[in-house]
Amino acid sequence: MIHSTSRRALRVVGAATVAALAVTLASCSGGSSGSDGGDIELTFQWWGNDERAVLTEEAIDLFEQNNPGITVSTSFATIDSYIPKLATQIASNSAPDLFLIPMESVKEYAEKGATLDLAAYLGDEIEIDEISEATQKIGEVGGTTYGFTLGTATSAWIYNPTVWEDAGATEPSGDFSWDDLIDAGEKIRAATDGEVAALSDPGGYIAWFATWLNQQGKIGWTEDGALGFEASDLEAWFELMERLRESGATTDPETTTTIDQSMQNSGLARGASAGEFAAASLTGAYADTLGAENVALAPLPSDSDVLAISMAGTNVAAIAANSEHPDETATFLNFLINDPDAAEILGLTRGIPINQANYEALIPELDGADKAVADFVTTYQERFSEPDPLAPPGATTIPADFTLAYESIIFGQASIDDAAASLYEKFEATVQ
Amino acid sequence: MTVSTDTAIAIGIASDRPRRPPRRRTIGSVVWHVVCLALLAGLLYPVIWLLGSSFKPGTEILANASPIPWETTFDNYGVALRGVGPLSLWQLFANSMSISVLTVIGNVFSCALAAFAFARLKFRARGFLFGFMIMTIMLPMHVVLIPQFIIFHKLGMIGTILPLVLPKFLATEAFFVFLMMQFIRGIPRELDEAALIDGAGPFRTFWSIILPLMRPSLVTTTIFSFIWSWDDFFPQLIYLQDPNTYTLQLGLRLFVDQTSASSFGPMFAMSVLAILPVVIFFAVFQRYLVDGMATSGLKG
Amino acid sequence: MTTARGTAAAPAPRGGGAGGRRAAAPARRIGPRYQNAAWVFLSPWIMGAGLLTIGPMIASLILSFTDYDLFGAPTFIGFDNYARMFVEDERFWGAVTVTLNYVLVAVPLKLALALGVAMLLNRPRRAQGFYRSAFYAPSLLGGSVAVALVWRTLFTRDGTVDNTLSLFGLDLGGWISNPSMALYVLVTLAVWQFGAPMVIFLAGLKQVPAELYDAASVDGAGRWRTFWSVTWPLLSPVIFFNLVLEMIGAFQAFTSAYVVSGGRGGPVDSTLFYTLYLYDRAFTAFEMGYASAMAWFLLVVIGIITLLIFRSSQSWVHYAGDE
Repeated sequence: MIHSTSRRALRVVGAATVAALAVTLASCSGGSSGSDGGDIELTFQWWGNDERAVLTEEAIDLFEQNNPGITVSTSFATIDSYIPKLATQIASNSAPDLFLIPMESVKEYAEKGATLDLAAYLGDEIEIDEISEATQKIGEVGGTTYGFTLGTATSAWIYNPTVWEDAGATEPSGDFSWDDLIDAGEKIRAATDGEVAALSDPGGYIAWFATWLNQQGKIGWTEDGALGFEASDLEAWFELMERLRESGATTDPETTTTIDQSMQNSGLARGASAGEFAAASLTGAYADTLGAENVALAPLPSDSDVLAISMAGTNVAAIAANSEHPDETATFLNFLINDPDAAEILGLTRGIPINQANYEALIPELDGADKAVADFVTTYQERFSEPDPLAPPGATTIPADFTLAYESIIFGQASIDDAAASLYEKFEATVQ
Repeated sequence: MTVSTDTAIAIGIASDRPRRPPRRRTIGSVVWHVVCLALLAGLLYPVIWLLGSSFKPGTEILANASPIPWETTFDNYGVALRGVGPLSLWQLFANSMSISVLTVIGNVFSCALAAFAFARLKFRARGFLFGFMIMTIMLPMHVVLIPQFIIFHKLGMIGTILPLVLPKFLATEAFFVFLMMQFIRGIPRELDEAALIDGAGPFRTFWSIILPLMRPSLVTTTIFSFIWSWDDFFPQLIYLQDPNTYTLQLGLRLFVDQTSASSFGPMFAMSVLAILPVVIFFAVFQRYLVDGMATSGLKG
Repeated sequence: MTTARGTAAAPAPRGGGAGGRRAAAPARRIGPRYQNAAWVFLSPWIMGAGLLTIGPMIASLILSFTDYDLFGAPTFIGFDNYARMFVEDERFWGAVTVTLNYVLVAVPLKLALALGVAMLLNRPRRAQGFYRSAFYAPSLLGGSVAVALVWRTLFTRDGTVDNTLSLFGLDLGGWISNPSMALYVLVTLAVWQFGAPMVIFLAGLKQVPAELYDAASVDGAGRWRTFWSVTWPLLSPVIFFNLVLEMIGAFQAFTSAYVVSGGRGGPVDSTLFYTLYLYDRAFTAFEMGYASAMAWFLLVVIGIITLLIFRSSQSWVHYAGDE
C-alpha cells in the first residue's frame, strides 16, 4: 500500500517532467518553419538596428521573389552583441552563409580561413563593373577578394553651425587648420560661458590618429603589414591633442570619458561640444537629435592640403568558408550590392552604395541628412584619398588599447612619452 | 516588537508585561510607514526617473536631468508598441514568456528533487558531488559557453529554445539547489522520522512532508527563476537565430544601436513595458511567502 | 525550543511514548531504500551535470593551457597563459584589485541593507505586500540598458547625486567620469538592487516559528536579545547562503559594469571587473585560452574563500533539522 503510494508519487513526478519536456520539444519544433523539399535556405547575419532591419527584410523579400527556390533567413543584433555571437558560431563551425565582418577584423577572419575566396564568382555571379577599384580593395586580403563592403562612408567633421555662428567663429571648411580650431575654440568657449567646447576630444580614437597620419603622408599599417609610422608620431599626436585640450578647444577629460562612439553618449548630441569627428553616415542620427538645421558637415582640419578623407568600408560582407550553398549565397551577395531595386530600398542606410550606377541613380531622390552626405561627397570628392590598407590580424584590440592609453594621459596617470612608448609596443606586437 | 498582540492572545500566554496602549501602537505604526516611505523615496527615484523619461520626447532625454518631462508625450509608447523592426511587441513578449514559464517549471521540479537528495539522503560521494555542484557556480559562464554551444550544436538544438530551457529541467542552476537545501535543513528531522514510523518511504516523505514545508523556498525559486530568465540576455543572443523567436531583452538592445539617436524614448518606454510583467509576477507570488512554518500544515 | 518542536510534531514526542520502537532505534536511520532513492532524486541533476556541465568545465580547463583564437584548433602552450597573467599583464592585476574592492564594499552593505529591510517588513501589516514589491522593484530592472543610462545620468557632474551632495557641502563632481570614484557608482547600483537577498531573508524569517518570539517575550527578552537569541540562529542557514552566494556573485559581476561603462571598464580601467576583462579577452581579442586561464584562477580563489566560509559556518550556523 505504502509502496504503491510512493511509486504513484514517483510516477506523477516523472509524468510531469516528461510532459514539460514534451511541451518544450513541441514548442521548439513549431517555431522553426519546415523547409519545403528542394528549397535552399540561406542564413544572413548582420548588425544594425530596427530601422535597418525593416529595410533589409524588404530587400530580402524582393530577392526571394526574384529567386524562387531560395529563402533567406536573417539574424541581426547590435554591433557589440554581434561580435561574440559570430565568434561563437565560427568556433562551432556553424557560421551563417553570409555575414558581415567589422573592418578591424577582416584580415583576421580571412587569414584564419573563415571566409571563402570569391575569385571564382567575380565577373560571374558577382558583377564588379560598376564598383571602383579602390572600393573593391576594401574586401581584399593579399590580393584575394574575400568580400565586399555593403556601403562606404567617409569620415567627416559633423558640427553645429548655429553654435559656431553665434560665437562668431569661422566655420570649418576644406581649408581649416588645427590652429584655426584653437581660435574657434576660444570664441565658442567665450560665447557659451565656458560650457561648450568646439570639438569632442578625438585624441583617444585610432581612426582620427590614422587620418592625421595620412595628412602627413604616413599610414597606419602598410600593404605588407608593417607599421607605417614611429612612436614619435604618437607623441606628436598626443601633444597636438594636449594643445587643443589646454586651450579649451576640446572637451575636458571628465566629459571626454563619458563620450564613446554611441549616439547616446555623444558630446555633440548632449551639447557638451559644438562638433565631433564621426562617420558621415551618422549625419541622419545627429539631425534627428539636434534638428536638421543644427547639423552640417565639413572635412577634418588639416595642416597640409591632404584632407585624408576616403570612401572607407563600413563592413565587409563575406561568405562562410564552409557554407553549404556558396553559389546561391554569391548570387544573394550580388543582389545586395548591385541590384538597382535593392539599392533603392536600402538607400544610404549602410553607407553609400558601392555600385556607382545605383548611387548616381539615387542622388536626385535624396533628401535631408542623406542629401547633406551626398553633397559633402560631391563637394570634396576630388580631394579624397584611397582608403588605408586593412589592419593585420591581432589588431582587433588596438582601438581599445589606444583609448586606454589616451585616458591614462588625460587623467595624469601616465606621461605622453611613456604612454606613447607602451602603446607603440602594442602596435609592434601586431606586426610580429 | 515582532509578536503581534493577536498571537499572544491566541496562544493564551498570560503575560506580566502590560500590553501596549492602542495610542502607542498607532504612533509606532505611523513611524514605521514614514520610515519605509522615506527609504522608498530615495530607492525608487531612479525608477521614477526611468518612468518619467519614457514620456519625454527624444530630444529632451539627453538634456533634461529631472524626472519630470518638460513636454509629455506618448509617442515613445506608440513606437515601442509597434515592436522592433519586423518583430511585434507581442511576439517578443510571448517568446520571453514561454521561455520564462518553462524555466520556472523546470527549476522548481528538478532543483527540489536534487536539494532533497543532498539535504536528507545519505549516499556515496555526497560530499564530493555537493562540492562539485557548488563549483559549477564559481566558474564564469563565458568560458563554458563555447563548449556548451558546441554540444548543443551537435545535438542539433541551435536556433530553438531547447538550449535555454532544457538545462533548467536538469537542475543545472545550483543556486536554487543550494537555496532549497538550506531550507530543507531547517526542517526538523523528527518529522521525517515520524513519517518513517508511519511507513513512508523517501518519496512519500518528500512529497507529503518536506515539499509543503519548504514552500517559501519554492516560491522564492519561482520568483527568481522567472525574473532572471526574463532579464537574461547573452544565452538568448547566441542560441536564438530567427528574429521571430527573439526575447524582449534582445529586442530592447536593438533599440539602442550605436548609430541612431531617436530611439532612446522608445527604448525607455519598452524597458518600462518589459518590466511590467515581472512586477506583476512578483506582486502576485510574493504573498505566498507569507506562509511559513508557523502557519502551514504543521499543526494537525 | 523543545516545546515548539514538541507541539509541532504530531506523533509521539522524543524519548518515549506509545510503541517502544523509537526508543531503541538510532536518531537517523537511512536504509537501502533511501540509498537507491537518492539516485532517483538526483537523476535530473546527474544528467544535467554529465551532459551539460562536466564536459564544458573540463574543456575550459584544458583550453586554459592552450592558445585558442576560436578560428582554428587550440594549440597547447602549457602554463604560458598563467605566466602571462601573473607576471606580465598589468591590466589583469588592475582587474583583480577593482573586483576585490567591489566585493569587500558591496557585499556587506548589500546584505546589511537586505537584512535590515527584511526585518522591517516582517511584520504582519496591511500593505506589506505593496512595500515588499516596492523594495524589490529596483532588482527587477536587472542589468538593463535603461538602468545603465539612468545610473550614468544620475552620477554625472551636475547630475542628481552631485547636486544632492552639494547641498551637504560635498562637491564631488561627476562620479562616473572620475577614475577614483567610478567604481562606487557600480557599488551603489549593486547595493540598490538588494531585493534578491531581501526576499530570501524574508522567506527565512517566515520560517521562524512565531511561538519562539512569544516564548522570548514571555522570558522578558528585549529586541536586541530576541534578535541574537532567536532570529539570528534560526536565520543563520539563510544568512550563510546569502553570504556565500552574494560573494560569489560579486566576484563574477559583469552586466552592470558592462552596460554602465559601455563594455570598456573605464575610465582608465577603473571599472574593469574581472569577468569584464575575461569577456574582453575571450570575445574581442579572441584569446579564449587566456580567458579560460583567468576563469579557472577565479574559480580557485572563489573556491578557497567559500571553503573558508563553509568551515567557519560550523561555529555560527545552526540547522534546526540537523540536531
